[in-house]
Amino acid sequence: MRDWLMAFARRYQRDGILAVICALLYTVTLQAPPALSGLFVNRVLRGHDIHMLWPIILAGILVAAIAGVFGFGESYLSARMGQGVLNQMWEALYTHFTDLPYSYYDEVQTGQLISRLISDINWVRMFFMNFFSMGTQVAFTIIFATALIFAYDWKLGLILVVLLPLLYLVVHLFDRKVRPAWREVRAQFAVMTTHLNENIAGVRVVKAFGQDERENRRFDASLDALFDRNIDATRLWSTFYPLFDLTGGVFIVVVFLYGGWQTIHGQLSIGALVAISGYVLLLVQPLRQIGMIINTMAQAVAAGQRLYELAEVNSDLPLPANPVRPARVEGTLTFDHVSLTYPSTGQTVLHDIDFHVGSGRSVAMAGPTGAGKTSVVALIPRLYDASQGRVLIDGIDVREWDPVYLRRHIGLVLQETFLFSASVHDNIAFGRPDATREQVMRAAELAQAAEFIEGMPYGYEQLIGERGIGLSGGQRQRIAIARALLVDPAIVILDDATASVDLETEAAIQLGMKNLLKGRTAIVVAHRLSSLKAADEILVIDEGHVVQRGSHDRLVEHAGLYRDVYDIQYRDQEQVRASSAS
Amino acid sequence: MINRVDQEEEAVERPFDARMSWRLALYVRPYPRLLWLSGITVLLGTGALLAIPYMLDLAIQRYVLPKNYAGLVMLVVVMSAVYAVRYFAYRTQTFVASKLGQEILRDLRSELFHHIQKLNFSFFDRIPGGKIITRVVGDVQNLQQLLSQGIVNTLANVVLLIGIIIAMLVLKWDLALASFIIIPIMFFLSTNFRRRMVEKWRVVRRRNSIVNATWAESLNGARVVIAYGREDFDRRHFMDLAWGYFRSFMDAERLSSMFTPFVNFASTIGIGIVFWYGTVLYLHHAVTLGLLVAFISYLAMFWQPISQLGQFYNQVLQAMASAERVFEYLDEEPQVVDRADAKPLELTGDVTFDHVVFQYQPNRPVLRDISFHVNAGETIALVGSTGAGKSSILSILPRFYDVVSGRILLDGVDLRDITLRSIRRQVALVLQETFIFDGTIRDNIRYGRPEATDTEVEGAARAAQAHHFISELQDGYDTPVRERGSRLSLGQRQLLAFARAILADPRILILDEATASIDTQTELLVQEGLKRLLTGRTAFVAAHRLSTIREADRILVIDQGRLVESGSHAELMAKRGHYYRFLEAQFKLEDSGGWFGHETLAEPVS
Repeated sequence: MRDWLMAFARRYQRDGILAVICALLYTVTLQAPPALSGLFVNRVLRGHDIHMLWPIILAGILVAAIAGVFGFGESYLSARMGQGVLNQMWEALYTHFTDLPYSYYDEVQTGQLISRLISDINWVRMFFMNFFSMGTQVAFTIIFATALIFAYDWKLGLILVVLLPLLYLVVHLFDRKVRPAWREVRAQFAVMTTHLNENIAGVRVVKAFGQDERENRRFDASLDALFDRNIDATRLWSTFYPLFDLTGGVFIVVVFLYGGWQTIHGQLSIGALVAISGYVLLLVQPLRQIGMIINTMAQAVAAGQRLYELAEVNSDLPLPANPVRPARVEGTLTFDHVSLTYPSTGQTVLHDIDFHVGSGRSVAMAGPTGAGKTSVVALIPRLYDASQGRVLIDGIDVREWDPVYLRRHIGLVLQETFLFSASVHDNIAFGRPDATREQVMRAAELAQAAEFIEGMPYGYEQLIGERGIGLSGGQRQRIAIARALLVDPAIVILDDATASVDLETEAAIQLGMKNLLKGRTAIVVAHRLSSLKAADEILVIDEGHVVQRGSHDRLVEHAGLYRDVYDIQYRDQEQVRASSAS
Repeated sequence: MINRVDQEEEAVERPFDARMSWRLALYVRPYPRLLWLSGITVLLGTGALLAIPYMLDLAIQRYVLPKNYAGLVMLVVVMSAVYAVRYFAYRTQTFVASKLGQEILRDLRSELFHHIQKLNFSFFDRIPGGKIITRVVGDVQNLQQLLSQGIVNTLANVVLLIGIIIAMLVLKWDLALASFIIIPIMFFLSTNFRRRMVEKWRVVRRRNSIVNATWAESLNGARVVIAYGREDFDRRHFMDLAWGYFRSFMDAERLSSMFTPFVNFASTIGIGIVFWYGTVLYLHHAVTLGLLVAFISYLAMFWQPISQLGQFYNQVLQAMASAERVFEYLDEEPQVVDRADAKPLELTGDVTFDHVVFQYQPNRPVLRDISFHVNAGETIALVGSTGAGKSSILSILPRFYDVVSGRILLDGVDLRDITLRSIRRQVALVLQETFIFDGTIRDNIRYGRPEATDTEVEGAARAAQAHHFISELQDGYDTPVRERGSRLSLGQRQLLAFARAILADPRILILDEATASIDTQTELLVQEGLKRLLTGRTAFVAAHRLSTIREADRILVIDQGRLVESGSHAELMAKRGHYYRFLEAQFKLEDSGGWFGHETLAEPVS
């Protein structure tokens, strides 16, 4: 894990080293002002050595200028390192996630993944940004300032060294108590937003059942709980936070009690007293930061571990040694005794599937939900690998193909169309980002989408998807069809593509579908038998087996699953027709 | 992705608006005690803070130099007491300010939430849910910060700043004036310089949110990306965004890294002036050593209040934009509300539409002059093509919207004379899209009648044919479910919704029949549940399944917002009118051979 993390830092090693050097030199310059003040008091004021005045002032200004340069260097360079590491991790993980097999996304909760990627990477960045430079500054400020106090008066130094752990104890207690309190606040905050989210998303049901009063009470209860958590946290915070101020005060009091006595007895000059007060104040801030640094480190280590685990997930689709990229793809498709067992669950979902579709011909699949239809379809663009048997396209095993090249020649339209938050144009041109507007418009026309697209306020530049305007199921589906049309695939897969629209919308989509299917090999999954009855061959799939096959007319004639479904879907209709004909 | 068109970007800042500020200030009014307390603690704490440098002066001049140790000890004791006062005052101030903020936060969020509950459906039709949530969470938070920490800290800072200036002027006015030269520089840094920083960081945040959104989208849409072989293109695009973010970050960081050095440099100049002019005065015996030490201590206190006042200024501008957004919702008038004399009514289920006209947008009526009467207990199927007005009829019946003209009568009483509460209690709606609330299955079934017993819940689930699948789940009725990520199938969700409606036991049931083709086995199950649901109540069904249509007592055929035919299936079939033609068109669609273009396609009905 450490090597993996450090590999990202290597390119910014130079920035890191320079930042630490800057931090060190900056810390050195910080020690000058109290000494200069002491010198000013002793030499200029007490010693009436007027010639020393200007050198002291100029030295002070010069030191401030140098401190400025080093301070800038430290903060800029460490930011560049942290941010650079972040970007490199992003790049590596992004590449990783797009290389993962399709099956990975079956199980994973993407929401969780995203928040991990955002917050965990941020901790790693904080680590690289703060840990080295701030650590250097904190450590050396404590060392230098304490050493200098010793140099002025070792007994006073000794007293302070005894007191320092006291301050650290305050910091430690603060961290231990306040942090969990804030965690509680965040947890309750999440509860509150979940309530809110749910209420807004389900507002129609809330109103339909007249439950708004109850929702009000529920939300108020979570607001009250959030209030209480916040007050708890604030009570701790307001008790501890001003303590830092107070400990600074305790130090000053000690300095004056002891240092004043020494000065009165001529053991310590008044200038030294001023200088020591200055160093004491320098000490307070870094002690406060120790807790933060330790916490950043702990969080970053945990975050790095989690990210490392994510990066360890392996792609289980081995790439062919000599990927095949035929100049022409005809689109013949053969399933040669294919079985599929999901590696994640060990469950066998397909048993000995065997069929052949010629170029430009069609095959349809029917059967209950969960029968394995979608699994069959997923094997074609090699989203999974068959456990037994082979899937061949144009006579070549899909495992021999260049997967990206293969997928470019397959048009996939799924039940749930995913639209990206981008313009209509970009969504249609998704598979061919270099397509011209004319090509996009042509595809939209063929998909019967042109009319509603042109009716939108920004036409093809209209933002759609999560952040854009909402589209109906039928409209989304037609965009997906246009998307598939534009890549001009040899094979088209429709996986329950019109399940979420009504019959009339389906009719509107059908025209587009027909254009998409013309002259291409088609693999169609549908529940509504009317959608698939004209296919060249229909496979009825149940529990991973092909239980029936043949044309619609043949299947209806024989008893079996297909006939049962047909009866349920058409019994009423046939009766109505019979009655209306009579 | 590419050419991301931000067609609706919300304003981040707004100029200061006195009227809006006053309206905001009213939220502080219920808490006079907290306000007083914070005022007192601010004065006390600031006073203590200001006393310290002066005591340093005393310590040096009165006791250390004259070698009076007993006096010094006395002074240090007093000083400790001052530190203690400072601690307690500061502590109370922090707590009170925060408490005030939390009170306001709760009040404002609660008010906003309650108000939103009262708003009409048209509000939710118009505004995406994500936007509403951003306002209730984010914008309210912005206001809270301004109203609590903002007010109290600003008070503290102004008092401190004035205190320092007065203290210095009183101690030695000419030395004070000389050292005030740095105040304009400090103000410049904390306003102009900081504004430039804030703007640059805003760019960084925007780019960061785009990068995060792209992450989310790439993962959510990963299947499409893989299926279309877009990996390389998307990676390049993502890295362009990521490095664009990097550049903007470094750009902002460059300016921010200069900020502290500039501030330190400016204060060093100030100290230099005190050294120089102080020496001149000292040599003329016009000031003492102790006074110079006190002066330098005061000077060191200058920066913090100036800096925080600059921050406050930015906060105000941001809060103005947030306030505008929050008030926009609060000012939204709920249109569907109880009339003053509205009464609760026990319904039998008798429904009359009396010349009802309805529209969502002005001058675009979707229902034109609909009249019909339904007796209690009848099942009515609404039939018509998409957009004919079926859903509109179903939405105005439970009074989600108000009619434009005409009346809807329940048991002969105008809908608007009955309390909304009693309508919604007795009129239940089962929607196409079933919403699952976060909770157990039991909670979800109980949603419309939270006081129902477990036996009643199970009874309802049995009646809805849902008991079977529920008892097969690992924790049965106690299985946790939620809207996203729960593993319920479409059919199962539908059955849950039926159970929910059965348990609520409404007199009138409204059903927007789901069109999603659940697989046929599930469909049979759903039909069975549906039958149970319909018996014994008045029911309106926007029907797509022929079986439902046929079994209805009466069918209302809707076309372009008008009621064109009504009667039983047999009557309407015999009539060979709209209904007959509608069914014909549907059959023809199914006959057209689906997606494979071997036959000519029927004209789509619309």
